[in-house]
Amino acid sequence: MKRFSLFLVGYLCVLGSLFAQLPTQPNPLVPQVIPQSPSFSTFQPPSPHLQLRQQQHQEAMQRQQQVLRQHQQAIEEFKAYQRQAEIRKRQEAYAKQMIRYNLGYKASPQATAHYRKAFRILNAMLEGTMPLSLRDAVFAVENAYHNDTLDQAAFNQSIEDIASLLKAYVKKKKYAFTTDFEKNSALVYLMQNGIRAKHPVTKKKTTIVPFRYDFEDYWGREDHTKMFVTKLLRTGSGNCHSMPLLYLLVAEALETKASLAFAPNHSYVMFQDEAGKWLNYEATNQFMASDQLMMGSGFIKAEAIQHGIYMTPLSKKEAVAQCLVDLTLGYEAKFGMDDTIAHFVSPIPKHAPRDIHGHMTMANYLTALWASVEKQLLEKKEDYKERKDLEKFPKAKRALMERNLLYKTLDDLGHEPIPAEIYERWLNQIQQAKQATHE
Amino acid sequence: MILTLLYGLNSYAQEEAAAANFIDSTQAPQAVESAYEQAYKQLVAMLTQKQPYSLKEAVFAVENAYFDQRLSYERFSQSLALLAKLSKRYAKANPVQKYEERDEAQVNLAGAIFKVLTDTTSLMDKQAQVWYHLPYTYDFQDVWGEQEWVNTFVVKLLTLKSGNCHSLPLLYKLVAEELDVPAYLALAPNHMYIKQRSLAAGWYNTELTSATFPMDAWLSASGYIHTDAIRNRVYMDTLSQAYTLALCLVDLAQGYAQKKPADHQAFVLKCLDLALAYYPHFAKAMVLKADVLSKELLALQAEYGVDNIQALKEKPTVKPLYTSVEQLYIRAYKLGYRNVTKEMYVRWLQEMQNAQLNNQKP
Repeated sequence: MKRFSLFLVGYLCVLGSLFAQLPTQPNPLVPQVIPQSPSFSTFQPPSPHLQLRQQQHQEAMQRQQQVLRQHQQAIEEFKAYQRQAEIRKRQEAYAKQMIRYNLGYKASPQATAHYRKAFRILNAMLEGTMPLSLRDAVFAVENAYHNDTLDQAAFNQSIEDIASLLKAYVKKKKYAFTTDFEKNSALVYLMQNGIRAKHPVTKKKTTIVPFRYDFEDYWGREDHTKMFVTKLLRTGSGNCHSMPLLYLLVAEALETKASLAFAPNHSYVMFQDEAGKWLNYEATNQFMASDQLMMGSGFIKAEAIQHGIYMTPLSKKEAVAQCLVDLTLGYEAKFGMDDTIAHFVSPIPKHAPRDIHGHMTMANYLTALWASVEKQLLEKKEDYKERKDLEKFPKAKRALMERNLLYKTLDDLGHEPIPAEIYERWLNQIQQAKQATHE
Repeated sequence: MILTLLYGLNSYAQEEAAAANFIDSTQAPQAVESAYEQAYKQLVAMLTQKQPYSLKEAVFAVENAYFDQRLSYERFSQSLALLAKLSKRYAKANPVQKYEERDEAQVNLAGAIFKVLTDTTSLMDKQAQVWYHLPYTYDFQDVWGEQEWVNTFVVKLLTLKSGNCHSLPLLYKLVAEELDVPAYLALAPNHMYIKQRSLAAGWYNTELTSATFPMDAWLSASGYIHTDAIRNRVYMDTLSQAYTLALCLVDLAQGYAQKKPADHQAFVLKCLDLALAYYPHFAKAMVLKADVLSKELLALQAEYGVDNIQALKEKPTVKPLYTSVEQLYIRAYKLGYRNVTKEMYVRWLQEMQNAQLNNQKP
């Protein structure tokens, strides 16, 4: 004990002497101030020797100051580096703990620029700052997928050509072509049989061959361009997405009323007869279908009709809102599921509240988001083992609840997936039809 | 059929027989007007929420009025409670296989009610004696209660074990309400059935008349249902509590009209107007109201001595009545209301049964 106190006293003395010496040391960082002004008491010029010495002294001082500045700078740089490293370290530690409640972006802003441009066009149409045009909307969607390389004038021309050839055809045949029903009937005839007529501008005899259903990859899973009207115009064959759309684009050019309508995984055309009754035109195999056939083959329940999600003619605004869903499909095929998709479908509920596909896309996004959140929870949080532990993570719980709520909305609206056996039967029918066409 | 074993029921047949005698001979019959007025007041009290909703009480009120207030409510509720008990036991003994959703218990009960009502249930009492509870079948003799209005009643169904598309779904719903199983009545042309929802299948239809589960597309295609009628929720939509009570009001009106066909139609119109106030797109009530009013028009036609009923439109005093009748018919038609003939209807019910049998074939 005694030895220890002695040691302590000695230690304190050393410390004391250290402290005592500290203030006496000159601060190396403060440069010494040298009086520069000449003395006012004597007006004699300074001797050359003195001048030389002063000059040397000044130069030495400047060098010294420069070294000091460099030193200072190096210290500051080092401190800044240390600060940054600390921030980075803290961020990394935080990221290890942090749960990301978004999916981020899968592609660079340059790569997705065309998509954002198309979104701006569609959104402007829905907001009313641009005129509603289904043709422009469809073009924007397809052009975005093709990286803004499609020729809009050529696209417009090919739609206008079909319309003007049809006009020339009915004029020559002296068919009635004034009411909406007559115009639609002529258009159905064109889609089904094709026409040959003299082009009113080029005066060339032109043939439009009947449009066919493309049995290869009819859902565009391998090649997304299979969904496109531009593909239908180029090859003459399309699917249940492009064929009704082409019909509607030509109807728009003819300034006649026709509407898009949905069945599960399917779209078709509706127009009114002269008594105002809505008719169904199945553009893929080109016949007029009864409501009951639509209901039966599409496995549609009464609730879906009551809520207007299936078998209900869409307004032009709703059709344009649906183009936003098409836009996300192309985006997803190209880049995968990310936050852009949620952003793209966000205007749909406001402008087309009964559009089921917007809800479905959002539900898919929220499912992907929840899967990501749950994966992060399992990886990063030790106190998360199963769904029961969600109570500790209110924000994650909200992500799951939001997803479940949307699925509930979908169920309430009457959307129900087609039962597997029914779907298989339908696929078989298509397969048979496909074989029949090959024979 | 698999023998169902249900323990713990004491002499089931006795209980059933005791409950099924509904006419209480100790009660003195009341005059038609007062009996109906009493039922009307009870329904109004439920509609205005002065009295809690109870379909059991509403249906009983309607049928009791026809029986001049001589039915026993106690026995009526007893027989419903017995069916509920039986269904509960059935669900316990024969749970639905391979169903793993959160609403399993509910689906089990719904399936049990369906089985108990449409199939023979065998049960064993404490003395190990086997009893059979027989199914409630469809009465093809008088499908719409034209011969005898009582044929549309739940008490008739409970007593004689045969009913029609009015009493069978009502009984199902009554038993379901006893067990707190959500079930909704839904309408089709000249028809009524049950709609329920399960997590696995979504909305599904239960058809008691043919003991089948038809799908919507089939119902609409074969049952002459216009798409507009679905869109306007005239058919194939679930009926809320208020709508169900409005339905009872129309039953009451029809019962009164059957009881007193020659009487002036004030009571009938009162019921129909109230039903339409709570259920504005109730097309059947519209058409019934128009029918009642057109009887008045026919009387006026005789009074004015005109050959063509349309000539009444010219008379300024009759014009409002004429146009209101016209408007009611037009509105019902536009909503998608349709009537089917009895032949069409019976064929439809049989088709439904055959379709089910065909589906069951391997």
